[in-house]
Amino acid sequence: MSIFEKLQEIMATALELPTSAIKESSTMENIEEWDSLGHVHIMVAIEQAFDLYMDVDDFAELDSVPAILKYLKSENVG
Amino acid sequence: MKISDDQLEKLLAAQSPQEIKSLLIRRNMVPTLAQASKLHKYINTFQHTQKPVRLGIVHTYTSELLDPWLHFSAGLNQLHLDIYHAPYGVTVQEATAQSGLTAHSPDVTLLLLTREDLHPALQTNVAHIQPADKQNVHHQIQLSLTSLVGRYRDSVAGHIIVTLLPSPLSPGLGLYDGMAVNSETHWWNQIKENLASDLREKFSGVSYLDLDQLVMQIGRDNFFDLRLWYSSTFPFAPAGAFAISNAVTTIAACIRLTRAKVIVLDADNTLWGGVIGEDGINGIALGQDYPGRVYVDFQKRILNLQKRGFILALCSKNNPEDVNEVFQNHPHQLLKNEHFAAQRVNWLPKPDNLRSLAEELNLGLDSFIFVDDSDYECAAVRHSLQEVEVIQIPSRPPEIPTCLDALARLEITSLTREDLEKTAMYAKERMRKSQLGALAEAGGSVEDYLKSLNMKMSVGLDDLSLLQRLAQLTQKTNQFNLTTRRYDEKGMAEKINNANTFVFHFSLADNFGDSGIVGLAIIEKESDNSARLDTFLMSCRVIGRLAEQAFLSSILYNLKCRGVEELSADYIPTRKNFLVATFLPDNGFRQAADGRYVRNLLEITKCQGNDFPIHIEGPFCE
Repeated sequence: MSIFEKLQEIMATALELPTSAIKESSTMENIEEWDSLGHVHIMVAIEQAFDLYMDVDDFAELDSVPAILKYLKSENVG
Repeated sequence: MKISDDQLEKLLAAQSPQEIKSLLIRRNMVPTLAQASKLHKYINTFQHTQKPVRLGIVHTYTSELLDPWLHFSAGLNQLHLDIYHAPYGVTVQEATAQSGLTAHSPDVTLLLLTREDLHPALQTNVAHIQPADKQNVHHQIQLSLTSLVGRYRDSVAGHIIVTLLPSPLSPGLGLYDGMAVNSETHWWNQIKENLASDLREKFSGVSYLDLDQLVMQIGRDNFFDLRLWYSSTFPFAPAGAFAISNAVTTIAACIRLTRAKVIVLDADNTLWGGVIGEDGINGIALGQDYPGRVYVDFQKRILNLQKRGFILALCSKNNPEDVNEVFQNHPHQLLKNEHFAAQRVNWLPKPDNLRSLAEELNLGLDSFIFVDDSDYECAAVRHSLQEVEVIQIPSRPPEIPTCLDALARLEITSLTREDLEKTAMYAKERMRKSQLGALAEAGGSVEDYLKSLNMKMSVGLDDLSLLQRLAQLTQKTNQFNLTTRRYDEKGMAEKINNANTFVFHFSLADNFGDSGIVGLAIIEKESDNSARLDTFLMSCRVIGRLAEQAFLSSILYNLKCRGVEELSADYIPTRKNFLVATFLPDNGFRQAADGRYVRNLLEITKCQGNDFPIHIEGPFCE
């Protein structure tokens, strides 16, 4: 499973959406359920799934799938 | 602790949501959101046993992020939640008839408050409050909480759970705090003690859920997530969110699910390690060493459950004299014969024994919790008695003492005098039965037996001081209950306070002791000369002593003296109350064309209560 596929599953669970709703280009702007509460769910779920401890100051910038994928890469995940 | 893929597979093969919950709690496992979602899907395959609960949340910190944990925990507790979150920080305004909360008509209202909400001084470092000011602050805190809870009690029905968020930071005086004159911890404990007693005495249907206990269980650092607290005003780390959700839904389940009344215990490898018939009294594990000390602690936990008001029964495949020898002569055996309301020590199949225990105790099998170590016995009971909740003793001894901790149905939300004396009452019932047996052998009749008991019935009316017990009777009584209408304490208080509603109760004393309050009737006046019997019930503890007829006669005479000429009544059949199917026609009620029962009171000239071998005391009946 690629990192994106794993992320797709995590985000879908966190936002209670089908996995197909999460695309490689998705952002907070274009997914309605990805509001500020949904965002915290996603962050917590990513931490749990990849065993990370994230800096809360990074939360705001991780507002799109590309940004999250880039972050995960920088954390040497996957 | 994290859940590995292997462990997740095992959880996904559990026999019941309860088993998953027990495993999670016992091993301190916290699922990730993804795991919780998988487990929740699995739990929903047991959907047929889930009961709906409407939860309203009033909060002064972010609560919406609890939702996945609340839904998951609800599933673990056999509930299905419909959640309403009040607008953030709005507390007083939600306690009105027009609020979103009232419109949601919650079964359970959860107040998520911070300590600062109660008094601004708590915003500053508590260690800075001068000892001289503390008393004043203390008083203010009590006032603001009781006035807030009072508003909610007046505006919503159902149960209210009050929580105060502990401080996410350690005490201001650090490691010295426990020693300090100005200790934050000690002061907070005092405040809590007073708050709890205020809530207990002033309100009904209100629980104070002490979050400090949860923090103690899992640790402050696991409970809070300071990043989320400072950035989103959401205080909880996943373990904390799970813990509070689980506690809240456990209380909801304790109220909503069929009440457990009896804990049936196996003996070998349950009360002690090993098999008494093979290992002998000196060979079983019970005492100060491992694993014997595990069983001593388990017995202590069982005795605590008895103090919560649950009845204990023993069901063991053994020779009775072997078990009895442990009870009487083992120096570390804590549970003795007198602690068990009934025993079945024999070689019969356990489902048969459970059926006969239910008959002896006059209680439904759905109020039974069966505790046994054996795969075979657990499977046998699960298979033939689906209404019995089965708990298997864990195979790892250190997990045994806490194996009943996660059971929502073994939680309580109040304690009455009757709860504390229950086992003694059943022991007296056994003595009554043996007196009946002895009389019958001597050729006496049942009537002789009843006379020999010297029964005294005390009938009372609209007594608010008994509110808790009266509400509890409507919640717990299933068999001798004409209409099975349930009232919580708030609903019961309304009935008692209403001038057009009569709430009668009775207690019964005899040579063997006092039963406590065991019968209840609610009568609604419909006009000056007619009334309706809303509720008529009696605890099964006193069945077979004509008390129900004496009670009814006393009520009828009372109503007649108050000008009531006609009393209508219903029998609403349930799965459990066939016992009273003919109670109304047997007692002078005739069935009208519309199916309702009616009793003409004009023909009553005196209190016929004393036609029974019971001396009745109460209004109009001397």
